[in-house]
Amino acid sequence: MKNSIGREIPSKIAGRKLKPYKGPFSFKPKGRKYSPPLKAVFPGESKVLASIKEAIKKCGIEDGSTISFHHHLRNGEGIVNMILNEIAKMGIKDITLAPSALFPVHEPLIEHIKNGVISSIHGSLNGPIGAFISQGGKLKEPVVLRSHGGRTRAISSGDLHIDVAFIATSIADEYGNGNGMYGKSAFGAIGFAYADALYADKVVVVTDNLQPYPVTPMSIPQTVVDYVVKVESIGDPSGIKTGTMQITKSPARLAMAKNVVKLFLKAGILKDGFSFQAGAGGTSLAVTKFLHEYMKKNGIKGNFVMGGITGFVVSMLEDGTIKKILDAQSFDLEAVESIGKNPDHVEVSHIMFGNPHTAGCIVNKQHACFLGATEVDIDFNVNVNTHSDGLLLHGIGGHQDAAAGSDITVILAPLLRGRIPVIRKEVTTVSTPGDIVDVVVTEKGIAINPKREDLIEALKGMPIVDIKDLYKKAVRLAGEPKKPRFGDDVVAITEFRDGTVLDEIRSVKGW
Amino acid sequence: MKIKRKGIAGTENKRDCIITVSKGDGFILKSKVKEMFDEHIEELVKKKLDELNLKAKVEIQENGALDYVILARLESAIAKACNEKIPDEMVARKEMEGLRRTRMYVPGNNPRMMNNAGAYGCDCIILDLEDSVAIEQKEDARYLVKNALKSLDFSAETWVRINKETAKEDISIIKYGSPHGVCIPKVESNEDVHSIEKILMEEGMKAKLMPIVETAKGVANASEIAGASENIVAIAFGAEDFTRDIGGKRKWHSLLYARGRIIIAAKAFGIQALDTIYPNVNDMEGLREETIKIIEMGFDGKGVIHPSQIEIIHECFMPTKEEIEEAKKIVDTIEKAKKKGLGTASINGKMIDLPVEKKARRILKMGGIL
Repeated sequence: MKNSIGREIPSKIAGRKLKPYKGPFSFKPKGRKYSPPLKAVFPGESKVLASIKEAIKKCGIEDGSTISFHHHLRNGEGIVNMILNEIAKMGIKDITLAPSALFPVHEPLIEHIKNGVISSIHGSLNGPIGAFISQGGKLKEPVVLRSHGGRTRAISSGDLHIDVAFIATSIADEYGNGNGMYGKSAFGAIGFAYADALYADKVVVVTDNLQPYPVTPMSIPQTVVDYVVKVESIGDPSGIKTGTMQITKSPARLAMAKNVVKLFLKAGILKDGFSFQAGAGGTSLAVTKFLHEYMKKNGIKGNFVMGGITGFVVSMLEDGTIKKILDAQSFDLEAVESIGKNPDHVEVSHIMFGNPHTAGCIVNKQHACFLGATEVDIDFNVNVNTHSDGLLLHGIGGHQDAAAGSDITVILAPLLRGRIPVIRKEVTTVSTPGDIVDVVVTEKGIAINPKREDLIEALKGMPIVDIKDLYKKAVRLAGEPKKPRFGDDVVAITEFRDGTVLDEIRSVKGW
Repeated sequence: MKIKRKGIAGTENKRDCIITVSKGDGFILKSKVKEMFDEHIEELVKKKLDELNLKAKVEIQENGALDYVILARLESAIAKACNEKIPDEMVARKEMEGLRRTRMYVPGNNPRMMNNAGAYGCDCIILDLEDSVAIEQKEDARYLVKNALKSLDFSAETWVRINKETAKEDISIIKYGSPHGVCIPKVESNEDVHSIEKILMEEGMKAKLMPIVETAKGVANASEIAGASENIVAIAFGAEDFTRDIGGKRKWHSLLYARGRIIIAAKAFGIQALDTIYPNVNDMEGLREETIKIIEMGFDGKGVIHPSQIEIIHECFMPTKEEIEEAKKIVDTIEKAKKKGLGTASINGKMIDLPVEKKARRILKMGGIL
């Protein structure tokens, strides 16, 4: 069947009927939230277990169970491989993995997919596992890719039922109170794990830093935690900062970033109270830096920055340019340090960040966001998941949520990367629908979504171009690239944050 | 055309390619994106060979080169292999309004810098065949500059700085790209201008001229140079070579006389005076300070060697609020009159003539409004 943006999608996967995407705010949920079982821990009972193996047994993990993890330590994450190895050793098969994301460090999971320990995945795939799945995979059912907000919606609605959540914390007490702010493996905010903690049937806190009761802040509260396991290490915080988190040095990208500041100024939002979502891509970091400089110079005070928090945002808080940081995910060690000591650097969950089926999430209060893209098409649809060779290499992240909520959504995209056009007639995969994308800033001009007549008027004087002309320009400079050959099998779907389906991703058969 | 020997062009740098043309036939492409673009690039090469009625073996080692770069390297390799110039057709070019606050020098053999040169909003882009290009790369650079002019949208007035010694070779190739103008380096007399004009005439190329004065002799003859041709729209000052020539140091006071002399010469002939570049790309405050001073002296623009300098210079040229308001009024009145189908417009009974309108539009452009 086809959805409202003309994408062909399967009508069902794994026996589950799919709802086609019909527009960003057209789906109204009904019913009640999923509720986890009642629990009781009586005085004198201990939650501390001796090993991961014991936790797996006590939680009753068996063939077909669904287990979840967070990825705050990103490429330094250390418990997923550990736990899956243990599960494999115990002969358990057919596990559904529901991590918030997987990274190159999780490449060893490919073996567990091959031998049937893992049979399906709900979660973002960054790097080798995505590539493996694109090339034929071997999972029983397609991977479901969701935005950060969308994942919390799926969990809270029961679409994604979690049997056992393993939550790594860098500090915890014996009753399970824990957070990510302190300890040798501190990673800052633990926004991804809130939904898992609230809605999983069983919750296991895994820590390498067990401290006397009570540990505060109680980001993960004792009331939901069944067991606590101490391990040697939950991972390596130096893996948080990956290559994408370096500010760009390219004069062209810097010029794009400056144009974003000008654009916000012309659109009338860059004034006292300005609030935005910061990103971690090289050009996004430059925008944050330039916004900071401009606001400081002109005495503009912002209300909050949501993130994806980096040292760039921390310095805005420290010199009083903004009043609050709302942090669901800390992107570097400066952010990790700040959240542990500055009361105005506030931890929030991804439910609060972007779950559309709540009584209002943070993205709704953002004036602006500026996001990256692998491809953008002439209908303003954005692809952040697949590369032009068809391989699934990235998750959706908070892309859809930020775009849906913010007053102005800017996509930062060069016209070409090397020879490969970024502005396309049709994106390989729709990750974020064009309905919620307002402006595309390239080094060869700025394209405004025709729906935003207000912006077309306000941005006069800037180098405005028709997005179709950008596409033509890209093709004139480098030609139309050949598409890879896709197979018939759907290896993944991209879900919109409200649970409707945007697109399917097919296997790649080469060229 | 016939291949006499092996011809090689291009570099290993990013956004570039190395093309080897030799006797025989066949097409070999080495590229990270071969699967996506092999047919497209082969087609591009085949079309060019057919156009030249040439049979050749072409090998390409591609590193993110856009089509214009591939064509440029192919032409240069063929020219070397055949020892002949590659014929072409001149492109049409839209006139610009002549604002020259910033003119950015872009090395003529560097595709990576050329690709995005139009992204920074400078008024003029000078594709340089002179000092920034090594002798052995001059031929490659001529074809690259020509193809860049034909393919890239610079959104600026485009100029080519030629070599004084090889002006004929330079012009005979870059003319097909129809740049708005030609910068003539190291001009010391009106004859230097005349000899370039003669070549332009022989080559059938029309272009504005910008003599660059950068020697003691040039400064001494500034008036003669400014009046040497009607095609001269601006004189540019080159302080680096000038300082070397006079044996002094680059200081504000040591350049003051030369700057003054150039201003007077230019203004006496109603053309623009354009100041030298600011060499320290990390010193933005120094750039700002110098730019404010040269504007006060009467200069109409300043040279740029790094994109980050453009915004600072444009800020220095920013008109006052009152000037912008006045200009807005003039342009609004004209637009309204045009809508009504009227040929003329007036404010307080005074007719707005073309020079006034042009000046108003220029102020709005400088103020970032138009």
